[in-house]
Amino acid sequence: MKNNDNFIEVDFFQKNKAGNVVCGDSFMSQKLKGEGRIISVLSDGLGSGIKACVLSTLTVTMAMNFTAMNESILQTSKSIMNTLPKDMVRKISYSTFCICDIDCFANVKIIEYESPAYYLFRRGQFIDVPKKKIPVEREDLGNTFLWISEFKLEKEDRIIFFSDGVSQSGMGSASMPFGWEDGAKTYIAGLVNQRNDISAKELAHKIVAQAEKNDGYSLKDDTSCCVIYMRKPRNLLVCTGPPFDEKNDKYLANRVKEFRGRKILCGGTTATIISRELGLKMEVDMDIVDKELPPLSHMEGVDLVTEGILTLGKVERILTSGNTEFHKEAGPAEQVVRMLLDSDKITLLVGTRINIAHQDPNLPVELEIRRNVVKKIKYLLETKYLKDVEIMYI
Amino acid sequence: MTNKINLKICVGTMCYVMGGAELKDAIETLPAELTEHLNITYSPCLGCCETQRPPLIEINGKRIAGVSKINLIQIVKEEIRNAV
Repeated sequence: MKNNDNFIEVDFFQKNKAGNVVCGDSFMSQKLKGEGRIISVLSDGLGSGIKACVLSTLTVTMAMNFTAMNESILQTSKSIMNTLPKDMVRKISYSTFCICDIDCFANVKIIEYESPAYYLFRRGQFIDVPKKKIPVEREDLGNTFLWISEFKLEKEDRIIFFSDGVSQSGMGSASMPFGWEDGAKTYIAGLVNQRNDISAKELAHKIVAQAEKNDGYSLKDDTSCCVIYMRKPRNLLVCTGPPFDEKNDKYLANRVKEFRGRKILCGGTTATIISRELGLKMEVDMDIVDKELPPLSHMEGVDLVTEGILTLGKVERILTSGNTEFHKEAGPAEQVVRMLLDSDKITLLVGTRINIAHQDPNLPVELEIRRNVVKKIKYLLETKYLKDVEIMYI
Repeated sequence: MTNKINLKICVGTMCYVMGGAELKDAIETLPAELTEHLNITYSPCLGCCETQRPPLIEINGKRIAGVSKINLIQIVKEEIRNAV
C-alpha cells in the first residue's frame, strides 16, 4: 500500500509444532484496493494439528470478512465463537485472534482477543499504546476480553504480533522458566537497532527461528509471527520484451537507465537492445544452471538478466505454489522471485512486439504469450504477496 | 594454428527450446584436442530466429542454422581442419 510515498510491508512466517504436518495457527492478509486498507489477521486455534487448523482457519476467514465489511468487533467475535465447533474433550469452542486494520491514512486499529500482546517498535524502542478493554460474554468459558488499540502508523514503525508459540517458547528451561516473554523484546530491539532496514519478512523469519532455538529446535507449539513495517518503498523494474516499434528502443533503454531501484531484464532480445543502446557489455553466465531454463547473463548496471518467457513462466509457477524458500544457489527463476519478494513497488515494463518464431504451434506449451504471463504475475504479486504492481506496455 | 576459432552458441528462448540446451551439453563433452582450438562463448540471443531455423550458432562470424548435437561436432571439426 502506498501512503504518501510510504509502503506498508506485511510479512509472516510460521513453523509447525514438532511432529505436526499442519499448523494450528492461521494467518491471512488482504489489501482492499478500493479503500486502500490492509487487514491482517492471525489466529491460534485450541490445541494443535488439524483440529486447531480448522478452528484458526475459520476464525481468520470470518474475522477478515467481517472486518472488511466494517462489522462491529463485538458482533464479529460473537459470531466467530458461535460458529466454531466445540472441542469434544474440553467442551469449549476456542481460538485467539489479533486483527490489524490499517486504513489509507495509516491509521491503525488492532483488536486482540486472548492473543499475546502485540509490539509497536518506533524509533529504537517499544511503545505502549493504551488499550480499551471490552468484555465478551461467553457461556462456556466465563467472561473474556477484547483489547482495542488505535494509533497512527509512522514511517519506520514496526508492528509485531505472534502466537503464544513465540512468547512461551523456552518455557520450563533453566534460562527462561516462564518462557521468552520480555526476552523477545530485547531480541527484536537488538536485531532492528543493528540493521535499521531489516525487512518484515526477514524479521518474522528470525523471530520464529529464535523461538525454535529457545525450544531446543523442537517446537512445543505452533509458532507464527507477523511483522508490519512502514518504509520507503523498495522499487524494482522488470523489463521484458522488445518495444512494438523499434523507434522506442532508445526510450526503453533510457527508462531502464534512469530507473531508481533494482532492475531485472527478462528476455534475450530485450537485453540485447539495452546492451546495444546503452553500450553495456553483456556476458552469459554458465555457472548458475537450471536444467529447465536458459542461463543468466550479467550486465553492468543491471541487477539480473535472464531469458524471457520460459523464466517468467517458471516465476509464475513458483509464485502460484507459494514455495518461495530457496537455497543460495538458486536458478534464474528463483532469483527473479527472490528479488520480486524483496521489493515493494514493482514496475513491469512489457514490450509488445511479438516474436513470430514463438507462434509455431509445434513449440512447447510453456511458450505462452508474454502479456498473459505478466498479467498472472501481477495478479499473484498483488493478491498473494501484497505488492504494489504496475504494468506499462511499450 | 595460432588463432582460436570463435564459437558462439545461442541460448535464447527459441534456440534453447529447439535444441540449444543439447548443444551446450555436446560442447562440454568434446575432447580436449578439439576444445583447445575453440573460444566458446554463449549469446542471450543472436536475433535471427524469426528468419532462420533455430538452434543457431556463430562460428568465426558465420551464422549456421538448424544445428544438432551431431552436426555441431562435424562443423567444429571442419572449421578446425580449414583453419590449420
